[in-house]
Amino acid sequence: MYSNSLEQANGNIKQQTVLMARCLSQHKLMDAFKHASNMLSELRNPLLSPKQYYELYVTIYDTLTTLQQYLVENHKTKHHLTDLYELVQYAGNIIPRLYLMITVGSAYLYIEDSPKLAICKDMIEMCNGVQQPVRGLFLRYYLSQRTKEFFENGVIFIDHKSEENIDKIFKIDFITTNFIEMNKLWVRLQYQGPLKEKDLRTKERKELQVLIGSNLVRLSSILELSDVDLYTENVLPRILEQVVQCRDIIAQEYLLEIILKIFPEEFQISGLTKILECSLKLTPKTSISKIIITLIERMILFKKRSADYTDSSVFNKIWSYLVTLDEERPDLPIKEFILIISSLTQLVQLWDAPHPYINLDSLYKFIFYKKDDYTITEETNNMLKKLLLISSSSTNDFFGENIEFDAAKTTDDLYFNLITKCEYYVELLVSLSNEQLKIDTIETIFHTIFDNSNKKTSKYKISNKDHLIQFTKMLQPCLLENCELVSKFFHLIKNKNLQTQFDLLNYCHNWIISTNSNRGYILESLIVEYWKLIRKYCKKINTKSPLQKSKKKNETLTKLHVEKIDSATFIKQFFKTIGRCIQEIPNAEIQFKMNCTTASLADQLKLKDLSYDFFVNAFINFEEMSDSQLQYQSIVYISQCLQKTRSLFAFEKNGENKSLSTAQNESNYYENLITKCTLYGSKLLNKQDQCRSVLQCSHLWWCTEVPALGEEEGVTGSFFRDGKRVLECLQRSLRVADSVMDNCTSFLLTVEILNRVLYYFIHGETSYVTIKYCNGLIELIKTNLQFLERETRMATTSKNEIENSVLNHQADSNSALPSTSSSAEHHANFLTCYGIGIDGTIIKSFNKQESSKLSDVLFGKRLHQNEHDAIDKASAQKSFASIAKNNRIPIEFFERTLNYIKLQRTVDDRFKLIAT
Amino acid sequence: MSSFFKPPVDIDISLDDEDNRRVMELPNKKQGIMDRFPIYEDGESINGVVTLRVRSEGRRVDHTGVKISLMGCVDMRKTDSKSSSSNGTETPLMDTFLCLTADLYPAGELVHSQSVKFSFKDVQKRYNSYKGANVEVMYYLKVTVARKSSDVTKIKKLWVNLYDQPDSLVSQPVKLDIGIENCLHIEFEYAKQHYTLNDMVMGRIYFLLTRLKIKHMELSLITRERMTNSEKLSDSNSIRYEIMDGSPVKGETIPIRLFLSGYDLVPNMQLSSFSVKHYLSLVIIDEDGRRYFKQAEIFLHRVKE
Repeated sequence: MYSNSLEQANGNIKQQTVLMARCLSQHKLMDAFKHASNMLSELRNPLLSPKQYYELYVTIYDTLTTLQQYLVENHKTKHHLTDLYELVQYAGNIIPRLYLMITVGSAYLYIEDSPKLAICKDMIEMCNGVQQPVRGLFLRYYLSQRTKEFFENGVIFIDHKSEENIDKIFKIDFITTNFIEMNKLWVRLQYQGPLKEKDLRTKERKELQVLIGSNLVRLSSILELSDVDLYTENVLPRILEQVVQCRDIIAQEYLLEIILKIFPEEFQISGLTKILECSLKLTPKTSISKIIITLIERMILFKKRSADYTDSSVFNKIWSYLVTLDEERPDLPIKEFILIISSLTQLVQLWDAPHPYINLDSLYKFIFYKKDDYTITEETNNMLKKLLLISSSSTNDFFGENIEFDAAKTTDDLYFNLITKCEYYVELLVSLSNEQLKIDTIETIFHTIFDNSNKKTSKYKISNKDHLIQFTKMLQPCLLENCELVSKFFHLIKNKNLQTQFDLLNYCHNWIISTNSNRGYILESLIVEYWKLIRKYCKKINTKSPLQKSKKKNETLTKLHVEKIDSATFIKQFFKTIGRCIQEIPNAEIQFKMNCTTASLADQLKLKDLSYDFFVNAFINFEEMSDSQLQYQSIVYISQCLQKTRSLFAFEKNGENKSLSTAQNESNYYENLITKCTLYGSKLLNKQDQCRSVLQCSHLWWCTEVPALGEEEGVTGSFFRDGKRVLECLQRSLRVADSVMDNCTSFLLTVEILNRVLYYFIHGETSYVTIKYCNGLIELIKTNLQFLERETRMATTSKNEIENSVLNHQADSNSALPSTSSSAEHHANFLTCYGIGIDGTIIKSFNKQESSKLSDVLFGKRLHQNEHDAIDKASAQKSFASIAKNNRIPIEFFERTLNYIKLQRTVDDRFKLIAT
Repeated sequence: MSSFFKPPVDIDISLDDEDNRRVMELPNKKQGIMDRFPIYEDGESINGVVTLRVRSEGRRVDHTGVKISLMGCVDMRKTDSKSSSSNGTETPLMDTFLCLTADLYPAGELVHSQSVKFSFKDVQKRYNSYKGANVEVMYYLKVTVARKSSDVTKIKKLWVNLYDQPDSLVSQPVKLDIGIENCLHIEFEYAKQHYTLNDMVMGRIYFLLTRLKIKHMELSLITRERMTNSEKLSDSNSIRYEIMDGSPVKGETIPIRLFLSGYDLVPNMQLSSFSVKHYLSLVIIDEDGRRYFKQAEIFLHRVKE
């Protein structure tokens, strides 16, 4: 009988092993069998867990190996194995009997003229006697192990050497039969014992699964690549039949996984249909996706290894399977379908490269309609997201290599193609029910496209309307959330045929308008695209001959070019569209800028009427602005634009009218605009802004060179310059500066005006901006400065006083700080005017008593609380700094200008006449 | 003094070629040794030598004749005598079916030790030797030195094995279909009904339905000895052989193979006074220890190899 505990059992096995070995060395075979049988009785113990059983099994296996070797070596000299084969069967208990029988029988297989076929058949049949799952599994595993070596090297059918297949088929039958029986036992284990131990059984089964799988491994080692048909017609159907019949989730999932993993890919391709059919017959809870994904992964690996293999039927097979699955298994969760589709998309990409998109679209279409049958949960959405992002959901590392695609390399291409070529990819994406998730997904896709298109700017083009429609459909959800993305997207719209390009942009325009989106910034970037278009269009018209164009089979353009009027109409149309876009921008500031820039563009293209209109629009926008700071900025902006325009006064020049003073003609757009601009500047609310605006506008009458247009100072003679007007502006701003109620600011503005005056002086405007004028201005500044210094001296000295008085109250006076004119009088003065708050702020006080009290409190406290000295001192110094900042005279600006004049004297004699 | 009670003549019976003859070994429980009986078959002559030795040399021993008998009888004395007497039936305890006698010496006196050959030619032996629980079939040689006072006798047991003709063993397979309603339904089949003692039992058990939690299943060979008159039965479990471990499911087929030659079995016997029969018993033991069994009669035969 068997021992009660594992320790005892191990002890007994060891003891019996020793005894058996001793008997063998003395050739007492009967006794050796007896010990072996005693030892094997331990394997009858029903209380052992599978793990413990395995432990005992391993030890016993080794011992029996010794016995087997002895039997082989001493055959015929000491005994005959036929006799022994019968002899061991007298054992009354089945477990020891069968182990011994297999030991003897497998030993007999090594003997040359033994009845190998009969032995094999007999051994496997007799194993049926053990129906207890764990014991049966191990017994059959023992059979498998014992026959392994012989099966790999030996031949059963010696007479049929020419027909190797007979031999192989028998071996396959043998292993398959054993596999089937083992699987039955394994499945049965689930139902052993009480129901509450179900989880324990499941765990035990997982521990034992290797025993069953080992049979399939054996099969795969016996089958060679040339045995594909044997596999597909014989082995696989039988295994699959068992898989279906056992109706057990664990077994079905495990076995199919093993089948898919251990047999070579060629077999998988050949057995594809059978596996697929099988998966339809599985029990409802078995994960179909897991199996199909593994299968698909094998296909992918195969394709990777042998890229030249082409068999389009693979997808068709899986596709028709999918359709059947859809029909037959309405109970299957959407999750399963998504997972299958996910991995199938990868297969398609690889197998149907370079044109996988028709098939991919079918897949997306499938899932698009399929998902309507289910309630969509968060999980589903996330899975759909993964599907859309082509990220492999598999964590399969069985093959030690990454099944995932080289994502960086292919996905951006892929995304672009998916969007443009797969209608349902976009449909599916847009139909995601979680908005945030949807936008995240779209963003991810676009970022991938953009990141890679940055490297090669011309890599992606949206050049036809269908593509554009796909993209806009997809971007729809982003319109409100992510303007940046949409703006970036506009850059992708490119078509060599500029009219088509125009149509595409118009489509975008309508798209934006039709949605209640955050239009401002998006329209802005669309307008930029229109600008680009106009520039390109004009460039083509101007530079390329009609002959070249016709060669480029760009018929529309050729036609346009021949008829110039048409091209002008087109350009005008472009601008009108821009105008409309600008109108639709809800923000006046942006409208203003857009108008200015469009006007500049029109000007550069010598379209003065259009340019004028856009400038006028800009002024209208200006009037809508209410923020004075913004208005000032706008004046600066528009004046810069205006100053660079050339076409607006070209009329005057063409008329050879060199008298610029007569430029007050109503038809002179430029005159109109700059006058308007200056006027707006001079009407700004803030004096400072007024002053500076007018000063800025003075440049509008003083055109400067634009090298990009080929202009050069001194060479180009026809600059629009009107000194008188410039002087008027300067005077005007000087008046404003003078009227500023803050001395300091006034001084600063005056210095700025002086700088500007010097600029005009240097650049040759001497008829109105004279030396005298300069000197007068400098004199004015100096006078102002004197007043200013006098005014602020008091404050400056007081500043020092505070510092000193603070320091004087300390035991060790810090002489490091400057103390210029400290006296008792000043001290008193200081006390009258300022006090320092407890928090270090300056309190201005006109009440002498109050301030003394304050200072008493302050300094008294200081005397008593020396420990706070450092902190208080720091805060006091901080306050002086703030006083200095507020009341400081920006004298260095003036000094800098004076220095400049002095320096200029060395190169320009005229400056010697300016007094500093 | 001790010699006073001893018989004056020693009788020794030796059989021809006894050392090379096959013997039947039976345990002698009283003495704790193995009894060895030379084996004879039907129709075989029994030859040998009887040696008479006078115990004390020179002394004359008178006798009224020396004879040798070959006896064959059924001994039922092991049967509980009380039960038989209480039944009031006149059961013969010994049923002698064979008695051959030959005179060795006429009346006279023995002076020296003498040896004399004897021979029972081509003796027909009707029954197998048998030693069962209640009954024994035995053959023996009995030498009697008849004296006026008390006879001196010597007995030597022989063992007779009869052989059946192999061609009489052709038989149909045994098929049985048994079950407990809604609980167990099995079919079993033995390849044949008649077996030789060196045969093996082949068969299979097919589980059509099983709701029992079977622990294991055994095959037993039961040898049943039945007394014709007293209706007394004696079963002995000649073989217990586990053929299945664990509980099978519907559709399983369990093979049966049992080698018989390793066991000391007797062939079937049918005498007027008693019979020996064999049954293969299939026993199913469930996890609660309950036993379910079904017996099927088989016939064992001894045949010449």
